[in-house]
Amino acid sequence: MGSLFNLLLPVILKFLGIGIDKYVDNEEAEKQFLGLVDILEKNGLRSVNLSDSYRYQLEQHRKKKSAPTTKESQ
Amino acid sequence: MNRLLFRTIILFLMPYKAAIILLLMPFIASCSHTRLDVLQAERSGKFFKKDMVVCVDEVCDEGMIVAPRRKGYDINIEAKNALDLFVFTTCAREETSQKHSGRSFFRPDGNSRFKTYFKPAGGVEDVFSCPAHIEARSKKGTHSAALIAFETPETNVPVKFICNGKRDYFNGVSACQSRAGLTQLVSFKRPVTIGMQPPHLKSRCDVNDSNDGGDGLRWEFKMPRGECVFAFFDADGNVHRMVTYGYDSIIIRED
Repeated sequence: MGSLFNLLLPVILKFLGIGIDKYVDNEEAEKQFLGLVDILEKNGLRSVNLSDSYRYQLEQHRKKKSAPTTKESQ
Repeated sequence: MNRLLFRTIILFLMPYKAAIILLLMPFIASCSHTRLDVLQAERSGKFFKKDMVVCVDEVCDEGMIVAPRRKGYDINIEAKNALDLFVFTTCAREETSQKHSGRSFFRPDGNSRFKTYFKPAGGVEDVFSCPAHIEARSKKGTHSAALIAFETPETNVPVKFICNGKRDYFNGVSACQSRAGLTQLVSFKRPVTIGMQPPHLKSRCDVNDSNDGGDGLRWEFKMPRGECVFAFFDADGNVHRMVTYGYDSIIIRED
């Protein structure tokens, strides 16, 4: 019985180690996921920021182009 | 993985020293390898390289890709980490999903591939600039990302781009990713002028002084930090849209 226990001990310890790792990883993961919220909030508007910037440039160009024509007509 | 291997070897070599190992176990386990540093850097405003492989209708690229104008797109992604959180964002939508990691006892690292179909909403997502940002995040704190820039009706000025040292030709829309501060070059067949950036982006997204020779044909600029969009106009009012992303750092992946 004693020798069987000695034989199985490394396996038991291995699984115990895996269990500890999983616990530690889960704890860290939970902290990290909670911390993600602010990054996701920040990242959520990236596309609309690029869209706004591009529209602004088109608008400014259109205004610039139409400005001399208005002067001429006056 | 290394710490598990390390401990397994020790355990098999020293079966009779179980008590010592048991005492050491919590210390070994507490040396858990995390990516908190990446998250902290990201939170402090650092830009990381977009390194997700994205395929749009069978055309693949890493990080940034330009998609021709279509009614819908088949998008395949290959992230560099498990898909514990998948986020797809455009100027009009944000889709999130936490169902794709596929983690299991037999596959602890999970799944890193994902396939989706994107149909732009007419009048909102298929006009002007409405790029799609794709982000995959793993529980361990790593992430990989990609950007898809879509061609739109008003963009029809072609360009030759030397982006990150590679020569490429684009039609109406170009996309370029490189380390912030590195020199990039765009060349046009006909003279163009550059659009005026909104006031809040003037200092960051500035390539106004980059026109080499002042003829409007050759624009050499230092890659600005973060994401920027530039509109170039020819004499007839045709537009070329250039989307750039200058990163500060890369994420070093574990094998």
